[in-house]
Amino acid sequence: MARKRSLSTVQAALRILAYLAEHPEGVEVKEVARLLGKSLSTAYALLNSLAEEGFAVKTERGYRLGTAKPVPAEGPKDPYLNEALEELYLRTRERCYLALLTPEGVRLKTRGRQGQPHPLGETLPEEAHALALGKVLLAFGALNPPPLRPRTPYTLTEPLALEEELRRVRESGLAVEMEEYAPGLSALAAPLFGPRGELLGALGVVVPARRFPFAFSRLARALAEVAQVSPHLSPPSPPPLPPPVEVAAPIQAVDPPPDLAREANLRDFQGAYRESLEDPEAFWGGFARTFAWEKPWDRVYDPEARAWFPGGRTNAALNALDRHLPERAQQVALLTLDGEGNLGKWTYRELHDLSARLAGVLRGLGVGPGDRVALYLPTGLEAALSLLALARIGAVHVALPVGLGPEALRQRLLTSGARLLIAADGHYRRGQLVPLRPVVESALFGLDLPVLWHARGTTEFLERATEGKPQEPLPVPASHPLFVLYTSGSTGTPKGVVHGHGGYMVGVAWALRHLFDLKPGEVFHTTADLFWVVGHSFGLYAPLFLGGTSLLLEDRPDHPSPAAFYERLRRLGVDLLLTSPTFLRTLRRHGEARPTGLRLVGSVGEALAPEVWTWTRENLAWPLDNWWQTELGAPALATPLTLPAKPGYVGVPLPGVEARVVDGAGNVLPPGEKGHLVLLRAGPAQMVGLLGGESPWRGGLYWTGDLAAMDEEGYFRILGRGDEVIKVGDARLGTAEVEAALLTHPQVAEAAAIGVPGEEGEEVAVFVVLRKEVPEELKPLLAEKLKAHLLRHLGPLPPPRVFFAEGLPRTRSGKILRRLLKAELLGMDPGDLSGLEEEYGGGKTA
Amino acid sequence: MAVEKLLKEEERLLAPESLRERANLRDLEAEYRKSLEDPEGFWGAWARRFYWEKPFEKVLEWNLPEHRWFLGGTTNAVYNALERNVERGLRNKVALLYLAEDGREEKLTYGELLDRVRRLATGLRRLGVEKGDRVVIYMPLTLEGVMAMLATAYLGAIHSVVYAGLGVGALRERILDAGAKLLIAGDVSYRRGKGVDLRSIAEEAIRDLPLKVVWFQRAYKAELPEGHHDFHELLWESPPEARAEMVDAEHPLFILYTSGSTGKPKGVVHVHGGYMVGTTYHLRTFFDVKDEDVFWATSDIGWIVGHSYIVYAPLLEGVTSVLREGAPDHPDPGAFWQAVERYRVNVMFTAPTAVRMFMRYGPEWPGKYDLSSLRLLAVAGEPLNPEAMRWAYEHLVDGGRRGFVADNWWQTELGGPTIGTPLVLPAKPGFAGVALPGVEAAVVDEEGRPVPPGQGGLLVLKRPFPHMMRTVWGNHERYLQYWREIPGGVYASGDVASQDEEGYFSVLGRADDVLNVAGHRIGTADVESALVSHPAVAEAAVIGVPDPLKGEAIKAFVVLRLGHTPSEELKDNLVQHVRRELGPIATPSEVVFLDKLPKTRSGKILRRLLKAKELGKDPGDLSTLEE
Repeated sequence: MARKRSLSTVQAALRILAYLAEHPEGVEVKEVARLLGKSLSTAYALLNSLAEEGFAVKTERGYRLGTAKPVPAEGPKDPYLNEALEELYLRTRERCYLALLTPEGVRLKTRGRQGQPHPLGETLPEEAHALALGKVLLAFGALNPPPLRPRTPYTLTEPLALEEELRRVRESGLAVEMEEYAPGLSALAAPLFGPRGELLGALGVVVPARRFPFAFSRLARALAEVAQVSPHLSPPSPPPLPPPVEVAAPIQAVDPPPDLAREANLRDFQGAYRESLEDPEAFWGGFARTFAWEKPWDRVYDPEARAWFPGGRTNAALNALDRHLPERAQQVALLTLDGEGNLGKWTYRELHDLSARLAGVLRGLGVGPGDRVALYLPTGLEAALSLLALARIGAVHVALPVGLGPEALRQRLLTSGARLLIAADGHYRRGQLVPLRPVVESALFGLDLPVLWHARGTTEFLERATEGKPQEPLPVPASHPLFVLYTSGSTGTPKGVVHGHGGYMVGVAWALRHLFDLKPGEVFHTTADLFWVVGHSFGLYAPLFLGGTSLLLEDRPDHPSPAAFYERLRRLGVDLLLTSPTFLRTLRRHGEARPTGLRLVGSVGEALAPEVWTWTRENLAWPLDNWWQTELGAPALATPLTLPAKPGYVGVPLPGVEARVVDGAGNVLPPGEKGHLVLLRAGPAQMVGLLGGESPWRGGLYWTGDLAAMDEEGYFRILGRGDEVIKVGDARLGTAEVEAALLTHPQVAEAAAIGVPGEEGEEVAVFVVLRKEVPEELKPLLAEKLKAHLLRHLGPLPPPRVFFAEGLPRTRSGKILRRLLKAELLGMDPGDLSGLEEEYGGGKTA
Repeated sequence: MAVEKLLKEEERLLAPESLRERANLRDLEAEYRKSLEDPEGFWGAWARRFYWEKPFEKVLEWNLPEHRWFLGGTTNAVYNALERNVERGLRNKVALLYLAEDGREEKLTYGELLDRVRRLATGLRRLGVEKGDRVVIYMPLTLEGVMAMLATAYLGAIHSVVYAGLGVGALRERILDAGAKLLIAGDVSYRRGKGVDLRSIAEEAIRDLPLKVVWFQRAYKAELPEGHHDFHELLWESPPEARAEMVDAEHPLFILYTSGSTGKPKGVVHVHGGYMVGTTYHLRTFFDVKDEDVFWATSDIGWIVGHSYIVYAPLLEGVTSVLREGAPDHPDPGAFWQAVERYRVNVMFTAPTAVRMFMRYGPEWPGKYDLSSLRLLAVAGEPLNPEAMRWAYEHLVDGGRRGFVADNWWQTELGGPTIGTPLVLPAKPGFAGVALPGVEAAVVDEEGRPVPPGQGGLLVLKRPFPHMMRTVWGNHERYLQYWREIPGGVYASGDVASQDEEGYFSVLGRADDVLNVAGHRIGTADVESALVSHPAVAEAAVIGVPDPLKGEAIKAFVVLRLGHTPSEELKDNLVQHVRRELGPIATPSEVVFLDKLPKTRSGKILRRLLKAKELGKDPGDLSTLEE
């Protein structure tokens, strides 16, 4: 791989000076440009600024070394060095540090800004290796390296990256700190050399990190000038560093909070798991009997047909609403917060009455049992009522993600065979009303499909609904289709996943009660939109099946700010949150959370990186990682409350599920090895059919398409999509693996990894969104840091390519669209992008 | 005539069979017997449904006129209404459903209400409110008004709600009598689509009083002076950290002022323990409320019905209570019935004046809506005339095929239904009903001797029950008077009634100079003093005249001071003056100027004569009349 050519201004300046020193005869501008790998104009600009400072002199031919080269200072060292400190302060007006090497040890002097954070004290602390100042002293051998430990109280720097770091300091003569020592502080430091090239000490400046991006150029120049850094004064070669202590990164199992485990709805997880496999009739049958069935099932599970509750007749809406009326008619079933900020509270009685009448309207429009009806509605009351009304009359709802473009919408309307579309004429996005009518009209052009409109800002839809004749819930066979959902295309062409009434009801309700631990009187909230499977299962159906209360939110959860998100949770008394790692990373990026009443935070959609897991536990509540797919309807792998959690590992198979890691031929792999995640059996919430696409069941195995590894204790770690695996040499890297490693770096807020064709097989390319803005000049340096960081984590690999991005493209369900990144990088066709979140601006900076 | 009278007497209106079969209280007779034979066992069992931090040792101690209940027990009525219900799984159940005239709704669940009450209580405590302190509440019928009541009682402080329709003089008098430390006031109430100014009334009422004020500001947020706070700021800036103050069962829960004939309003005191037990008993047995019912008492938190049946009893029983701000016939006369349909109200409690108003608008209004959820319409506040009773039975509960109209009689002093027609009994138009469990009532003459059935007399109660008042605030002597007025150790209700052979009581009206205008008790003396406080008025006398809608209307006779001449302008002036002083409900509908008033020799104004003249009746004994 070609060496990166990007240089910071300081590095470039230093290189130019070195080059000028080697060529006393003078050099041409184009030589300098070539040397730097920069444009002629950049080279001109650099040389001009060097000339202004007297470091270079313009000649006929070009430039030669100036006279302002550092003159060895004579006389007592101390006053000279103190002047340097004073000079640096006067130039920067920031807090400046001087570390002087004396026979008694390092003496520290400071100057400047009272009241500014003072991270050091009067002497260098043991964690000096993490400091800019300390790194300079370490790099030039003036300090003995402190014992390397994985983490000191103040150190965020991965110690294994230290050697790499020090090498860079020696090369550039400048140490840069970006909040790696202390959050909120950034620093720059440079060595001070004596006349004979001996190290006298180090000079540094510290500023609040928020100002660092803007102050960087000014500070770097001031520091370089004051310290008179010049690479031609070759420093003494540093003593060799002792070999780094091998720090294995053991996954530490963390016990759940004792209260949570003790009070869990399901205390004997192992017993339940065993029973679910050995005696599914008793296990699932017992739970299923808590619901209303018009006719009981013949058997709980028919393994041949993979059918749950065959012979049984029930209705999801009956169990979501009617069943609760005698006991909780006046309980709030749904809290709805629309994009305009209106909070609605809807009781079981109201949902029942409204959906029963809406069902009458739908019957009047000719919708009957088994008919498919498409929905293009934002998350909210109208969408919930539509789903429940359709379920009530045995019709099949096909919720399509709002924001889907006209072409994708049209395609799904055609393939689903919908006979009616219920659509909103607008939805709210970050406080703005985005019109949807043009999209719908364009999608419907030439089609003979009636539309039931929900006109935003009016109560017309509800008024229309109340005109219907109330319908009783229609009992249907357990496997009668309840809904179709198109899986969002992180993989390619969308396919319609069909779920039924009976098994789905039992499966999602079980998960909400026994995995997410919903207790009576609690408020559940998922940040997933209603039109995704997470929204279907846990925004609407499972909370209603259990007689719970669910909060539905139209706009983005962090709109207008993360603070609003925390405030909302607190005011509405949300106890349980189910969200995505993406959103947790967004929150983490904004720093510390505000207090909420959360008891549990479920995370689903992607692998939850250990760093984010830890942040969630420290800032929100106990994280409950879980893994499933649209096809599975409900969690399949998770870490139940009563088991220790292993950050980075999603957990163990849940009742009804048997999972393995196999090779491509289906042979089971030993623990620790990476392979394909397959299921031998899945729970009752699994799909009852597919519209288009290939069945994931092949050779008696359910191929999840994900890569995973299982440890000795049966915990699974999801490594990314199988079709997104990166094959580097002999190694196979999961995208999630690489991303989790990147997220351990303090500067990284979000990351996506892809494989790109390289010299030997594939190379890793990573796209990084930084937590804070970083000046352009620093980005190459940071990229180098990140590369070193990755290599430390992932082992010997060709150096990854690092790109900085403003944001990552994701589906509206929060999954990173890696194939779009790949397509953008390689100039390929990205395929179906209908699921893309419209906020993604595209583009990247290298 | 005789036949018609007989037929009328035979008239029986029944509740549908299904309703009677599913009634919470089916065997009324046995229940009644038990309540009188073993009051300790009877009320003790009901009381044990609630949380007592320290269980009571003795159910009751009678030393009439004093009566004390649940002795030694400590509890808090608000704790029982909120924490207890949240803990038993009702956290997300709608506790209060607020409706505005424009159809806007606001729901508060038990969990939310507890959170708000804790916050507000924290805020009030920070303002120095402590156990036993009096807080006067002058708030419109809103969630915030209810929160103010509950937060006060949560701290063991005593609320005194003043109906936000009473005027400056009435409010000031009550603040002073209660010795209030703090006033929680609204800036405006909304009625008929318009804002009604409360702020200037409250500001004037507290002029020069060293009172802290919390303003619930809806019209606009004013710059508040030192010691004044904004309700919502106080609420949201205070953490929900306050916890219920457990108090003795006999600790005062609230003071509610009611008019008497003496001119000075009486501060009726109710206590945590007995009031909680008694009002809920009747919610379940008389109003027949089931757990999942929507219950709507159309009164206001300024009256006892609002205290007992908008706020305390429904919340204590964990049911959903509706409150609607504004006029019942705005935006149109179907407003109530639209709400009944929309929220599927099951039990409604309203006033005869409202029924008469709906009657005047005609049956087409309720007919437009689906009232199938409404199974019981309870009516109280003043005598329900048979025509209104029949109309309600016919048009509001489908002629008895769907539901029942339950007349009932009680008073501020009595806390809850006392005489009434439970749905297992037939209703007789013109009769309020029978003595309810726990109640021993009789009709007697002035000497305390029983009068024969069918004859009019004074309505008295022969024993106390837990939710009966304990004292008159700051005037225990006045309390004792209730029990001493008539010989025989009975409570004199001040109402005239008769009882039939079957034990049904027909309440005819007040025995004293108290008017009942649209169900609100108004002392003639109050109106007279208000009139006399006008510079043009020398003397005034006020009587009640029958009114087809309000039951009674106020007619004032005024003698002007020298130098003032009668004019229409002055009339309007006087009406506005009374309105300002006492509030709209006490506004005279007619003012007549006289040269002098008929008086007894001792100087008492003979209202009887004025009334007789007015109604063209025989004025009776006029021997004491001054010429």
